[in-house]
Amino acid sequence: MSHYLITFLSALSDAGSLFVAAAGLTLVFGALRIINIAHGSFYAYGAFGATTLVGGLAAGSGRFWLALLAVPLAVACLGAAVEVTVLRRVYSRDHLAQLVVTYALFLIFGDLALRLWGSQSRSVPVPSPFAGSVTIGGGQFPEYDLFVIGAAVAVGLALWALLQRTPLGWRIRAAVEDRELLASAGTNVPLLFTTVFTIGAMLAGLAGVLAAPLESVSPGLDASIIISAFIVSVIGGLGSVAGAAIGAIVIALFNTAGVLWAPSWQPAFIYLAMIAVLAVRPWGLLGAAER
Amino acid sequence: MSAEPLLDIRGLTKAFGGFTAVAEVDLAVWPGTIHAVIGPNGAGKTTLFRVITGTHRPTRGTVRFDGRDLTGAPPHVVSRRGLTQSFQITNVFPRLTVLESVQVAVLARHRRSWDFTSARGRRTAGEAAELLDEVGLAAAAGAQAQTLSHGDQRILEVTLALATRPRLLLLDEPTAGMSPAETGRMVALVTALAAARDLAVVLCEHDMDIVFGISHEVTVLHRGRVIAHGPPAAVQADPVVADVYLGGEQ
Amino acid sequence: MTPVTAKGRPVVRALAGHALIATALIVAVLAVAPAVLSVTALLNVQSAIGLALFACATNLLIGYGGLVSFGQGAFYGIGAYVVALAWLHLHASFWISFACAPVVGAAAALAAGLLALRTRRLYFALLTVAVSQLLYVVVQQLQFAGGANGVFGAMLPGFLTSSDNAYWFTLAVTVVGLLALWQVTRSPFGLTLRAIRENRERAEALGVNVFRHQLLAFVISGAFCALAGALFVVYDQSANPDLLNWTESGYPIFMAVIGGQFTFLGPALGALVYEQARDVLLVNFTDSQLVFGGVLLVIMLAAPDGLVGLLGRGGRELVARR
Repeated sequence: MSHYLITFLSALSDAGSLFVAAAGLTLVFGALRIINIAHGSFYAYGAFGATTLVGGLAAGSGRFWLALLAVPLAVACLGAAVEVTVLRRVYSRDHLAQLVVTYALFLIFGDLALRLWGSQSRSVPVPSPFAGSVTIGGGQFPEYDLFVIGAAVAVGLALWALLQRTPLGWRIRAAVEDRELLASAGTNVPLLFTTVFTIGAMLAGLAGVLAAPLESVSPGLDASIIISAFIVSVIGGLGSVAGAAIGAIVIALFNTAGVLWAPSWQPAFIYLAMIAVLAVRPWGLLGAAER
Repeated sequence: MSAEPLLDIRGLTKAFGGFTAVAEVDLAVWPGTIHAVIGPNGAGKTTLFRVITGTHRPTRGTVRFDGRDLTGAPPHVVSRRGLTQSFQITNVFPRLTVLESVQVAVLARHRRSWDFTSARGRRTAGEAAELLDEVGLAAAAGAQAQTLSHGDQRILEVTLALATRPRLLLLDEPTAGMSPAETGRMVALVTALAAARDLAVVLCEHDMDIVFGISHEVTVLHRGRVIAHGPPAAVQADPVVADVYLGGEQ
Repeated sequence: MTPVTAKGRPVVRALAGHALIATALIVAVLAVAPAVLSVTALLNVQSAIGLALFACATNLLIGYGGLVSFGQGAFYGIGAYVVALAWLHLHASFWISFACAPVVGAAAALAAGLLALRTRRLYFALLTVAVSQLLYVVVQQLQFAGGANGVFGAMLPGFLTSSDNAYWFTLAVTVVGLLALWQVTRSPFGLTLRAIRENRERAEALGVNVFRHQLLAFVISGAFCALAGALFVVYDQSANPDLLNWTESGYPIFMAVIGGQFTFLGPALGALVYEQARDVLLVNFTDSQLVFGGVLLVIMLAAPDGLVGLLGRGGRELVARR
């Protein structure tokens, strides 16, 4: 029993950072109708940024909290710069053009990352307040993993509050529903787009920092996370943050099942899930049907 | 004029839930004639067209076309029987040339869109070119559709519909957004087509000069019902119509 | 606007004349390359030629059909694996398994297309990624397919062990393949496909069965991508899972974009440029991806018609057949 629980909770903590990343991706898609492949780069920069800031110090836990605050902000700035200089020019173009542009950015950022951080694996030590483990149902579970789950929940609630209770949130939801209406209502749409994209980038960076102590940080992180984030967003419904939460949990369940029953086939499960959702109900569980 | 109308609509009714958009509409159109359907906004003209082409299923009533019952048939069946609609918004193939656009329609009609040899392509190009001559777009054959003026694009749009060799053409506001010169061309084209091809034309228009200028028969809709129909002069003189539509709204 | 008679014929003849001559010249130049180039250089050109087929086959789908698939690498990989596995397990004749590769690719594309073409645009792209990734993950688990390492070995027949013969074989297959693809694009089918790309609803209203047309395009593209994958075996004598990864599917798309996705040979040009550029970059810089991404970005933002568009500014009528 405890074995199942521990496995599930472990998958849940992975899902936690995945949710934060996917929430950013899905928010950007919902409002801007752009699939941003470079979102994976933002995530990777978050993780790598954390490794730089926290450094190789054995127990530099104070630095971790600093990284948690500063790195996402830095990534957010990068996101804003990208949106203003590049993305604004492709909003009116077709999907292929947008995909190619964000993929080009993905390549550029990936290469820059190699220059900045080299090709070796790096790691971030677990911050000391959460360095221990907790006994759950008879098994040991790392405290930090619990922290990540908690952080994910906190981010989810914060996003909910933002979307439901603030004027900005209202505008974002309106943009998801009907862009033209929003422009005619007097909203500065370009500024709104930049804001949403920046929030998305920040979320990706935050997810990267959160995930850094969980697994080693190495090149290729951007490619793997973007696929997983896509899957989560698609299952939940592109454009829906709540959907991303559900999607993340679904992925956690699939991964648990995979690890427990057929470990070597585990990666296949989530692709099957994505195919199933896209074939039967492409707008996902909570998304709006494409017009 | 033959005994039976080409398009024979009796008691057509379409209700969406509690709201009745079209109620007990009778309409008869003979080949080679131009029949205008007019009415204030919301009178049910668009819904009527949609039911005729099969986009909506009627709640009650019958639609007979060319002697056969077409009530409730889906759009591609309706189109195949020879009843074609030309769309209100300009609905062309932007980056295809004018000639290519018409060729696509001709190919579709011949069921030749599966051809991998280009020999047939050349033959259909000939037929397409003839059509362009007929509608006056031959000079623009090599231009991309999106570079045409709005009026020319509408004419191209009608040409696409024509390429399917319909017996009856439904035109939804064909001169919307056109300059007077373009309007003149469209009007001349429609009149010539009806005469030359024995084509029946049912059009929905707001421009009263056109309606009373070229139609052989006019049907007036108000709140989903027919309040008057007959030759243009009779309808124009009808006090009910003047009251509800021409007098009040204008 | 190019002057054209009502029949439209003279213009087509003129264009065909010029483009045909130019292409024939290029093929002739390529054919004598073995006499001039070193073995390594020749191998590079050979690889580029095979990639040109891959890129043009992909462009049938994305440029002509308007269907963005980020999963054509799956068919490329399938083509390679068919040849490699037939050699490994069935000890089949290379020529037979080579001929089978496009058939298997077509069958796989039929299955994938039946599933994927029920969705639109973005969801279609994502689904192709998912299918490709699934294949990528599954293949690595299959022992009979060589697992994560793939299959490698001396799988070429004696005739093709000579680098000159291998080169000419690749060139011949590619030329034939490109001719076939070109005919598809010029045919009524190709025109209908473009019409569907331009305005799907209008095409449907004219009586075109959109789903079936797109499915056929998907199958044809899959077949020729698999053929290109079989040519990869001629080049590398191996088949590995990485060919199936979604990042691999990005390459033909870039080649099409860089070369020019609105012309038939644009992707081929893109393939040639990419291959040469990549080698130059790898030798002189380590940042090939950076330069590549940068070029891609500049082209997308400033020259969306690709290299062909830039070249064609002067002789626009010669090459721009959309």
